Amino acid sequence: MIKRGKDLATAADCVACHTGDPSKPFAGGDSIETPFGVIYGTNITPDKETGIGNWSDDDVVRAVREGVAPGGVHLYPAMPYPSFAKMSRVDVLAIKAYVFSLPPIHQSNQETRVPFPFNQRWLMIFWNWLNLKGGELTPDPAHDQAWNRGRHLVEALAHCGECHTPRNVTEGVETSHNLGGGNLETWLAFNVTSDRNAGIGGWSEDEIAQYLLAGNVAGKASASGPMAQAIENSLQYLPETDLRAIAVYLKATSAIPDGSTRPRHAWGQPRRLLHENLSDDPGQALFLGNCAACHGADGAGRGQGLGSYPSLFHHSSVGASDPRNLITVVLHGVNRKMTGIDVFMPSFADVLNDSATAALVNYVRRQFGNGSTNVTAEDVAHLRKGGAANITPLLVGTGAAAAVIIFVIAVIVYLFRRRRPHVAAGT
Amino acid sequence: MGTSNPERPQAPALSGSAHGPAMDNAHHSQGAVYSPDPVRRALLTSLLAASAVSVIPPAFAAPAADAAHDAFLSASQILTGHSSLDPEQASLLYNALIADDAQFADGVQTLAKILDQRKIDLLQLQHALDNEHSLVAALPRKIVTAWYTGIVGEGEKARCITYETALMNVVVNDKLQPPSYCYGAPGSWVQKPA
Repeated sequence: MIKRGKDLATAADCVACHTGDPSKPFAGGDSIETPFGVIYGTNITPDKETGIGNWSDDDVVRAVREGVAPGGVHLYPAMPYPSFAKMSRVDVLAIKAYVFSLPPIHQSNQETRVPFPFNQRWLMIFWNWLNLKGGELTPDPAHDQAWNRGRHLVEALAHCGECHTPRNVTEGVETSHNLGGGNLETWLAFNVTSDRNAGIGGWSEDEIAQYLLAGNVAGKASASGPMAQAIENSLQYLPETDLRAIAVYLKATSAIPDGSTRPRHAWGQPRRLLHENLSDDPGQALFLGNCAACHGADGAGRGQGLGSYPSLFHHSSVGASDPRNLITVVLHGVNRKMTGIDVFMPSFADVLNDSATAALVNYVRRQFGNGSTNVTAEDVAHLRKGGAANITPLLVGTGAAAAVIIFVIAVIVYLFRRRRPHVAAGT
Repeated sequence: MGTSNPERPQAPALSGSAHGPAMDNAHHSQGAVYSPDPVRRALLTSLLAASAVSVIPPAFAAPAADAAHDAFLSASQILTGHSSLDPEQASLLYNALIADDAQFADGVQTLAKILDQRKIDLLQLQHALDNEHSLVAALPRKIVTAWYTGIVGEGEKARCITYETALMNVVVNDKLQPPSYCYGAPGSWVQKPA
């Protein structure tokens, strides 16, 4: 049961949010940026004071599947309980058994501070009412075992939709656009539905499974940022049958188009090696000076397999019409710790300023990808800062709070006025 | 330059191009029945002459440029020992060489003739040219340097025309990458090259 719990915890990637210091697994401290503010992962080791050592089975199940901790404390959906709601009780208890078998670590939780009105956790009751849809998944007899296993992994355990599905105005998952692409400020989690152009319909099952295992498929994509993290911590450890099941399920999802006429990975061509006047093209000069050493003077990359430097053409991050991922990778690099090798690309944030980065990215996209839009130095500066705070939830929340307050005042005023005539008549 | 038909009424100005030599206007109308239109005749004359003349300048210029370029190509093939050389690369190097040295176009034709007619053994070539105090003695070295290192000119005038496709990098590219390019994916140098 503990082994099973460990496998489930790996698939659900608990460490990603509940391990800040790698030497203290599951002791919390990791932070996640949300439009509402920074939320800290808690200590879920069996420590009785600072962890969850005192929690019962029911407590854990309620927290994981309903987002309510002991004492009625509502959790924020940074803890993906809307996805974990689809897990079975047995699975959650297996994870509990695994976690409780780990050494307790005494580490106090960092307090999560978000601005009013979001710090009123009881308001989550309304959010849950709006956004919590569907409970435990039961196998669908209309589909085969691989599909059902894939669905369980994608929708529940690995909670792919939490990143890959767009969010509605309350920042809940928009289930009608399942896996249609998610906005993570500095990253765009791509549409991974079966659509040929907007999604990954042009990928084979082998390629999808390879990507989840290795993070790199020549001529298609390589993983960076949060996806690299998911592969590093979780997906690379899943058995091959699970990876294939995910591939089967993804290839069978409803296609969600986005107007693209070509798949992301179908753009670009190799750079010619003979040129007359390189100094006329600063973007190209920057490419040669910073990128070509590893990615090749022709942009075709170098090597094969796990640690290869990917080709820049026929690469989804370069071919995507949204330049965000490419800019962020140039600024922050890639660091994907795989079994046996660290896949590494250096960060260029200290080497290139905003306008140089923009010139470089525009060249790379024109030559190797989708040069449809122009990137400006302001765009780069924006991403360098981590993207602007999304004010929509702030407005919605403040508006709702203001409405409640006004309503309460109106009621008080009404009641007060109703009493006045009695006082006046008495005089 | 051109003259119109003196015995016919002046033809109006027809085209901006050069007028040809005046047409022989010895024809006279034979009678009232047949009278060739002077305007049409003048038009046809000048158009024909213009098209003939417009061909002349390139016809004189092109063969000279082509001849030097061809000479450069054939000399390059002999001197480098590579029978197939990229034509685009050849053009880039050729343009750089004639920009660097005004006598190069003529010199390379002379050199090509020497190589073709006298069929000197390549190992003796430089020695032979030096002994004869040939005007083209410096050229073989310039040509080979351009192809192998990608550099044309010396000192302050040196320009790098090609790098990745320079022959010094091409001849070893089954095992190596040009300097400053990574050898392979991380750890690939651990494998024995063979």
